[in-house]
Amino acid sequence: MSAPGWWRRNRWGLVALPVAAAAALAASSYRVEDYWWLEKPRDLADGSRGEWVEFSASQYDRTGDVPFTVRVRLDEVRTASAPFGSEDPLELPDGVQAVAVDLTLAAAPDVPLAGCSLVLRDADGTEYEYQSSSPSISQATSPCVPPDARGPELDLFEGLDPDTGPRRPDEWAVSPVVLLPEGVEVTQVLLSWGPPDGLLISAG
Amino acid sequence: MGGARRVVRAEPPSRFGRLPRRAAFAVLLVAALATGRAVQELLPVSEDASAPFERTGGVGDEIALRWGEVEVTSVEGSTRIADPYGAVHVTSGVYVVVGWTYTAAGEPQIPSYVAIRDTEGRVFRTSVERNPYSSGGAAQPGIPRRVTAAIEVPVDAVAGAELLVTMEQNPENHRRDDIAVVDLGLTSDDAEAWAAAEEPLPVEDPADGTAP
Repeated sequence: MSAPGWWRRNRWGLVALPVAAAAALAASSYRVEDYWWLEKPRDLADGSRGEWVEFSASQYDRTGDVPFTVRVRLDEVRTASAPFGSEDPLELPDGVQAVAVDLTLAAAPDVPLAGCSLVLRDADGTEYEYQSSSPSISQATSPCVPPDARGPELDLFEGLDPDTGPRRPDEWAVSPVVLLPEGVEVTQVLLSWGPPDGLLISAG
Repeated sequence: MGGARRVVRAEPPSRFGRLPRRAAFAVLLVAALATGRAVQELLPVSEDASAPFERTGGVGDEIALRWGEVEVTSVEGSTRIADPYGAVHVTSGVYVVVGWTYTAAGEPQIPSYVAIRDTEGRVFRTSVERNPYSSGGAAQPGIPRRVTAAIEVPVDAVAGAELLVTMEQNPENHRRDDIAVVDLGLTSDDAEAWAAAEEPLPVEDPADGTAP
């Protein structure tokens, strides 16, 4: 009787090999979520200019998950005349343009929505961010809510009442301003209240 | 494997026959580990594996990096600086004041790590009080950001000093990323002149756009 062949002798090891390799990869990829998935908005809902988009996602604070639903309409991306929430004239350095993003939003007044980020993208995918303060501009902290009626904040600190300001309207308009190099054309507007969820609206 | 089995069959193991073989195996194992350790210590493997990619240039060169572009526009020195708040700082060494322009690529980014490295490899970093530097926050891509860093160094560190700039504040995280290394073109004559200079050099606030 001849000895069993190599493949036969090692058949269980061969069966286990892909399983072990997959398990090793899974065990060593525990940082993928933190360093990639949660680094930027990746799970995107789509919309286009001029139409209402309903966007649902979740934030979290001391009380746990805070789900929300907001309706957003991108009205226009145009040349800005003043910083958002300020009457001061814009003083721009040479080679810089200021773009205002006209958005209309609607949400229940008891939903915290101030903690959002606004990013503009050009055709190459280069990203420009809303900044409330930089050497060239100073404007409202949040690009998504009316500066004088922000609505409730997330409950982040013990002993601080998260809802003190005036009631936010059911529907409101904002015009946050983003600085870009001259000649850059905005093709997409990306709104997010925390990765991985985001709302991507084409500006064309 | 089959061979090993045959050997065992040919020489049935005895209590006395097995021990020397086990001892020899242990000695060989320790020797192999020691050799590995010695090789690892002799070769600069760990430093090379964790070193950033140095992109070099001189004053006035536009150095292209993964995260943007860096160009040193001015280098001055004195024993005194006036920080953006008007406070004057005095040193018994030399303040090297470097003006440079940073243009981000791809997305808004902050060059957080700014330091001077001398010819001995000593590194002097910016700090909050004594070594003022402000990035002005993340710079939008394509919009040049003019910044100034003032760093206090011993007089003997001036000649041949280089400016280091990169995104990550923690040097342990510089591996596998680009770092700008700018030869500031300084000599021991500069060091002597600056060690005697008493005029406070202004440290400007960051500003956007190309220099007017």
